[in-house]
Amino acid sequence: MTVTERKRAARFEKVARTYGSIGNVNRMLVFLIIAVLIIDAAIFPVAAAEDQLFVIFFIHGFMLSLMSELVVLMNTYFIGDTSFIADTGNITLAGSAYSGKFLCTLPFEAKDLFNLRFIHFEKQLSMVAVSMIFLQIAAEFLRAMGYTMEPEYIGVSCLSAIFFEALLLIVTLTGMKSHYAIIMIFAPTLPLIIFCEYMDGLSEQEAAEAIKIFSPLNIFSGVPGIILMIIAAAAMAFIGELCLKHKKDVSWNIK
Amino acid sequence: MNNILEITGLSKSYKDFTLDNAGFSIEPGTVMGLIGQNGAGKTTIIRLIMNMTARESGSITVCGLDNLGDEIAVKNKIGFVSDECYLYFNTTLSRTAKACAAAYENWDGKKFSGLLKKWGLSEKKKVMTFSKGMQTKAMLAVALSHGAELLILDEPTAGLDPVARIEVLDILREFVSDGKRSVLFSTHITGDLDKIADVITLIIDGKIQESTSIDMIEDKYAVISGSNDKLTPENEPLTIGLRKLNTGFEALVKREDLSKFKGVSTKNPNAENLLTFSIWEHNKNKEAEKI
Repeated sequence: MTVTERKRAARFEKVARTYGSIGNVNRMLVFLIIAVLIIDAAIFPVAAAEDQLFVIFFIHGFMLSLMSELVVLMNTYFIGDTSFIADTGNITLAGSAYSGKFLCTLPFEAKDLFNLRFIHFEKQLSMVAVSMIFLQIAAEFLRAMGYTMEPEYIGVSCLSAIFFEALLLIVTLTGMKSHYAIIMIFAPTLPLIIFCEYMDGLSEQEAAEAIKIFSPLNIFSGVPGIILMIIAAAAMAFIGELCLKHKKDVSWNIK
Repeated sequence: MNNILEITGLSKSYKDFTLDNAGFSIEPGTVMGLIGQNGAGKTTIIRLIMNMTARESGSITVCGLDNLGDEIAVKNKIGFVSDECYLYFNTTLSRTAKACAAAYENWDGKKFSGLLKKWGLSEKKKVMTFSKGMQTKAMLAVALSHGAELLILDEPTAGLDPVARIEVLDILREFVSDGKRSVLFSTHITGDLDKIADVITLIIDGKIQESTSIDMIEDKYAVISGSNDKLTPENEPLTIGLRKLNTGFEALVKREDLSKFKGVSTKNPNAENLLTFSIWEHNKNKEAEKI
């Protein structure tokens, strides 16, 4: 989108936030990042050595996905975007529908809502990318401290994040209905959870054999993983901007 | 001078309803009443003008501007009042004013405060504490405070007491008095239109049946009544929405066909007559098609 469109979407958000109980979305994003890190740090010392890895990646993968979704849901609530969460919770819908209808009567374009939705996606995409990069760096420190950090675990976590963001991009651009959106958003975390649960249940020897299947995922760990994460995030932002540029005749979709 | 509102070939389909090729226009200084029974398509047309939902075909221009291509400019020209309060319930009117000031090019905060004071609405109380009439007036205050040229009201007097209803109608009359601004007023309470409308657009089952001035309706139609023996096989098909009772009949007819009815009483039709007789005729035709 153009600079003018970004500025107008920001003005639209400012008007929408006049009605919101929670203030600055950026502060929320920082809070959520810190919350995830604190949860990691709190669990890490008390978990058994072999569980620490599982705990870290489970927390990162699942909690981060969930918290990212919460950010998106809160944003859509306060900007009145009913297309995304049309059937999810009467209170959310009622609040969202009212503010959405009022915002529609104001001199903004329906595309401003769309653009703002995408700006929020870009913010949380960058948050997830930073978090994954932090994860990669943390893994290197843990290795230096003598922990066994299988690169496949990091690879699964990073790939899961990329996959989740790609699905969220599709949902953001298409304004999918809520139950499809919820399935798409939670679906990527399930493989990670299942993977971690499976590996956790194996003996050391069985795990060492099983992990070899996932060795292609080593590419997503370490410095290559960081570069791939940055490239994936940039590519998603670029594709999204391209789709927005060609999006015409958008309506507010007020129910 | 451009028409304030021009709609041509407007269509939109839902599961059980289709708005089919709707079209009408509003000249400056005019109050247009959009009438029809519940579910006829009045609110759908308004939602399409406001881009609340996407149209499938047709065009909508406000003061010569396309409502999609120039949405921001169009929304600056439109003041909207809905049947349900769209203002955020958990917010005071003073916060509402701040949101509006950030959005509208020509927001007049003083005028807004003045209207609230005139109508006895507190800026410090939350919208949820207002009655239905007060909420309508709050929406009207927003609509009148940014230099709008077209007021669109979707059943704004439904649920209002008689005093509040008259006050709203007075406000609308004053709005168009400069001859440059217009009102589109959708309702199924036809009594309000008799008091204020210059033009009536009748919609039945998603189709525009008539869009004409009140004077022309009176020139074009008449309501006739009489004993049932005044109806003959020759003149009965000329009736619109014929209602036959034991005590006699009543119907709408075109004035050009009046000579075919002997010994009947006639009177000028109002908006309610146009609506009710047209709906009865439509329902009768629908039943006949089924058979």
